[in-house]
Amino acid sequence: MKKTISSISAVAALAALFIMPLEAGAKEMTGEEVTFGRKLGNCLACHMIPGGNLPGNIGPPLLAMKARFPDKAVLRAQIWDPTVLNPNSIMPPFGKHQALTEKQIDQITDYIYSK
Amino acid sequence: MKKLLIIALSVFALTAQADFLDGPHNWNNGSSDSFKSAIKAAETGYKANLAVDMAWRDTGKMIKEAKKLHAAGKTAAAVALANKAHTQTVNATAQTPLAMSAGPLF
Amino acid sequence: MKKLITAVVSLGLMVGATSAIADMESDRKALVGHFKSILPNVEFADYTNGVYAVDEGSREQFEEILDGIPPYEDAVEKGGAEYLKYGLNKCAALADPAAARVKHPYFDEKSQQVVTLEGEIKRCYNEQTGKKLGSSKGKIARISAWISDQAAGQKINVIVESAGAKAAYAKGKATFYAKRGQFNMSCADCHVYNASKKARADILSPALGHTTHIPMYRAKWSGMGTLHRRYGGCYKNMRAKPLKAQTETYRNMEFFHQAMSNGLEITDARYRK
Repeated sequence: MKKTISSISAVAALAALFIMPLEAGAKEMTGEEVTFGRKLGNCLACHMIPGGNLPGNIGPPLLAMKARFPDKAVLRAQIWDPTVLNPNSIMPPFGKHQALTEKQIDQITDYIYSK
Repeated sequence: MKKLLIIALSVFALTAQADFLDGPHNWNNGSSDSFKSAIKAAETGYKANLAVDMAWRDTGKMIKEAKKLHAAGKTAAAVALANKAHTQTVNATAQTPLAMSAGPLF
Repeated sequence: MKKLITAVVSLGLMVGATSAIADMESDRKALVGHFKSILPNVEFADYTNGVYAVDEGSREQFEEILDGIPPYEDAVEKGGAEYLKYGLNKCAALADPAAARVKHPYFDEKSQQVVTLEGEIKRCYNEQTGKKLGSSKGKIARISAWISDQAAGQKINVIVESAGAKAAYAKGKATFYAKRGQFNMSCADCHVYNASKKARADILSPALGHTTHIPMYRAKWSGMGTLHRRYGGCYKNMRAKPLKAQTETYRNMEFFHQAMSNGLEITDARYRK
């Protein structure tokens, strides 16, 4: 009996393994996924962000964003095109150069703003 | 080599004809024209970017992909992608004058 | 008409590039000064070791690799055999390999072009065998590495004197500092202003000393590659379309890039991550 249960759970676990990635693919990406994704925002390449592993340290840590950007639109504009404030900025103009969609920029802004 | 050229040329000629013949069939579809102008803008911009070594990585691929989409009859998607490629070339062109005089900040 | 265009263009270049031309030695000193200010504890001579000069942890790994059998050792040895096999010793420019490494890149007054070591190897290989040689990896990287090994311990000494050389240098410098690609980044953004900082877990190497150990073996490539192969990789990372190795723009950039490492020792420790 015990054996049957364990084999059933093994099958269930295996099935879950197969189903999970499918689900993840079908599901819409979360703000965190867009922010951390190496081929998307890849914000961790340069910024420490709470909850993200192996951050770079080229840009400032993304902390206390509400205090630093009382106006959320200013934060969004900074992600959209940081060269407006500083033409020498190393940060890519994600919106202006269409490296991300407008929706992805909204998602990243929301996610970062919650930090 | 010569043979290859002849084949390439005849394929080109046939495609051009096919394109031309395609015209009347699509007479009620104005977007084929909008594709033509969009892809032309993208190609012209890309060529100019290449000439000054300032082209972007994906523009060429996008132009190719847009043509494929157009050939497959997916005109709206083709126009959208050609426009995106064109925007890339506009942004690359904007980088060019700065690039020519770039120097250290110290 | 053509003459007029040339005149207008060169006038434009002269006006546009006056600040860029400056002179190589003052540019180099300013760059060294910049590194002194961002990394005050790194000795100038240690920049020969590239990224390992600025990060203790990876330096230990590097030294362990050098203590063992470095993964490029066989390739470099093979390059030496190929140098003889293809008769590269018969070309005047390469007959003395150590001297060849130190002499290149240089500005050739006759062609008004920068001549690189790999460019010379390609030319000579073609002359000797009637065949073409690639520019990025494999044979050319092995041969160039072996030639460079013969000059290990000597110092990089790029000379920029004539008006033509200065113009090529100025173009190369602009290419190095120009923002490009969808990411709008320059070589300098990472390797000058942010050298020694981390992009994710990768440490950005300082531009000073970049050319002491080329061609290099990169773990990422699991093989050898030339400087221009690396340029192509960097362009792609910036989402710019890479140029062909040994094109004029890359040769000019190499001219500037190597000159910035003048005074640093050429090394045979060519392992990089």
